[in-house]
Amino acid sequence: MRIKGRVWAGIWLLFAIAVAGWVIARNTSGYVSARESSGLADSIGYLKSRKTELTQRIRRAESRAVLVPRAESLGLRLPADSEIVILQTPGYERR
Amino acid sequence: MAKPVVRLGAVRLAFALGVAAVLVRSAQVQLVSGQRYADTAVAQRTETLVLPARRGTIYDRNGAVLAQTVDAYRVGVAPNELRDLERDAEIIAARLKIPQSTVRRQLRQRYAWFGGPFTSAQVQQLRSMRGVHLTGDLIRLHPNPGLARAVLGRPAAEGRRASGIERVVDTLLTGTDGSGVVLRDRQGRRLESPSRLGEFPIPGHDVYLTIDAALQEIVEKALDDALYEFEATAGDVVVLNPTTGEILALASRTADGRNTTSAFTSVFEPGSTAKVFAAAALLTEGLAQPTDSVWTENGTYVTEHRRIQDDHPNGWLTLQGVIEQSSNIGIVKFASRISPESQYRMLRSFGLGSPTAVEYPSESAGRLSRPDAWSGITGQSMAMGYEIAVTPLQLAQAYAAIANGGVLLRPTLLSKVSAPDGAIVYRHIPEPVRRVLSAEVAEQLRTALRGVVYRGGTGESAALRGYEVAGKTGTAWRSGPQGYVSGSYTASFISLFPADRPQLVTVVKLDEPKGTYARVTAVPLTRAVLEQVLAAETQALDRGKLAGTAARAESNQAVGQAEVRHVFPWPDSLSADRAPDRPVPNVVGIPLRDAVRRMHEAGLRVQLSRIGAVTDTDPRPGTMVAPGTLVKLVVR
Repeated sequence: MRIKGRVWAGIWLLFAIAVAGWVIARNTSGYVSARESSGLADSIGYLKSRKTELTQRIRRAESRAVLVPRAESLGLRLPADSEIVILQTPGYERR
Repeated sequence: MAKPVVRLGAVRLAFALGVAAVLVRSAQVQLVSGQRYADTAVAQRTETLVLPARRGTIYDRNGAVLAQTVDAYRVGVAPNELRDLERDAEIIAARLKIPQSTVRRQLRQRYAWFGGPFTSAQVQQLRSMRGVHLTGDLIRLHPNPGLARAVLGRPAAEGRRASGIERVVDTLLTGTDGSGVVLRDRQGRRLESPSRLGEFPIPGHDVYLTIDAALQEIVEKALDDALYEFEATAGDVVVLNPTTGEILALASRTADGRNTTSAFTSVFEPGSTAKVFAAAALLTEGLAQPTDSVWTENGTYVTEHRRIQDDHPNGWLTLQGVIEQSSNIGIVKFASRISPESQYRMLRSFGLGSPTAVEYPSESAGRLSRPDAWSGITGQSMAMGYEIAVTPLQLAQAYAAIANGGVLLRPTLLSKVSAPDGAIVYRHIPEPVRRVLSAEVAEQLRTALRGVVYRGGTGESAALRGYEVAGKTGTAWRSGPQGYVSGSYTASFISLFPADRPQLVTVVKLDEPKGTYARVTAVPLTRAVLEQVLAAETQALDRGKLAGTAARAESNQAVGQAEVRHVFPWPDSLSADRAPDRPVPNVVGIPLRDAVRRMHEAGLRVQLSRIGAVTDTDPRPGTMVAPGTLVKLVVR
């Protein structure tokens, strides 16, 4: 069957539209990926920052400046040196 | 009207021409002008950025972070772009922890700027807010603010010079910047594109200090408490490992809470802590024996040029007694046997008068004049610790030489340096400067220093029940522009812990404390530090070695004395009676901890095979053994 001229024109047009659509889709996909990548980088930054912040809070909470007054308020105290018993690990003498 | 075939041909021709025109234009665009258009497109849609390299992290000796570089942001807001000014202002104020009134005032301008810097966590909720523009930055963060700040210093920024360790190892900490390309969308927002990274930034090296964070915290807290309690104007504490030269903790504070660098840079006359250097010269030159005695004139000695007084009058004192009682008269009389050259040489050998070469940007050499510049009484003065000036670090270095058997080591703050790939590029090894003393003289001096912390010695309040401590007190007049200031003193105490095979050399110095004398100011501070170090989970102490020391100290208690006998009399220690044998206690069936305690109380050392219930001992219970014998607990 012989294809008529207007059909050819339609095919060309469709082809051009398809190519243009493909280009736009690819471009859009690129932007979406870039945004996702950027979002993930932000998330990593956020999580790292949160980790640093929590580490800082833990460090502060376990510091002697915080712990000792609290322990003393509970009636605890630092042991005297005579109350500390150091256990010698087996085999230490051989080293 | 043309025939259809002709019309069709014309349309075809037109299409063909159109296609040809497109192809020609395409070829022109792609082949002839392609590069220019490509460059223009890239310039419009992308931006080349310098990717700053992350500065290396500074850790303590155990890997705890002391200073690290983290992402931070500064926030710009275009008020006309905000969707809901009132609501957005509230969110911005809440997230950035800025008063609402401040935020609202800023938002009345055309463009509001909040310099911060703010953490990623703070700005996370603002990222999606229209009208908010974030500018990324890297900032230096100290997870434990205030800890070892003077030692750490800060990196150079905004025209300010770097300081502290950050300055010394700046070239190591600084990485190599990279470059990258980011995409821009139609709103001009940047979109990261990993595939367009030019050069990766290379982060800086990580630096591990010799500082032990736990010990540093103990020292800083104890110093602050002492400054408050004794109303001192300033103070320094230096803790050094005498076998490696590693500085484990270093704190310098003023009464108003400022961190200073005075342990490195500020000099003072050491007073009686320098008597040990005169004793070292006497023993090394063979000009005195530990048993030699001098008459200390019952506390007042008038010479041709000066009047010398002791705080505690004494009669005849051996060299040991002179150190124990810190007798000025005694050391002056002994020092008259030394030539100025020998005395100078010994002080110089101990590192006085020259910088220690520690890795710190500024350090004082102290003051030690040459013998040809001495007056007739300079030798006497130097023996008492006057007319010379030292830094606390120099004193720590010098006493470390006595502690380790006579070798002067270069003190250090750097433990190791690791490259970004984890490879260790530097690891500290002890750097001997010179041998100052023979091992024998060092041992004699250590024995003398034990006596200072024995009953009747000036440092007796530093004595611990379970461990022997050696040390020397110093209470020196402070000088002003008009000479020595009446009633103004520097109190110092230098301790070796434990006295046997010392692991820590601690220098404590307090400026103008209420209570004046070192024995009631600097000595209790040292004791407080040592007790806390023992109780803390710090790796600064080798507790395995310490266990043996403790057992030996406890063995003294077990021989039936009324109190712990920390120090044998010196120089009569050789004639001291040997402690008698004792039976191995029966600890079968009692809790392991109690069993160990009972063995220690009996003056015996303990070895465990594992944790559990004690079923037997080796040697068996009741066997007579010498004090300090190792008893193995058989555990089920």
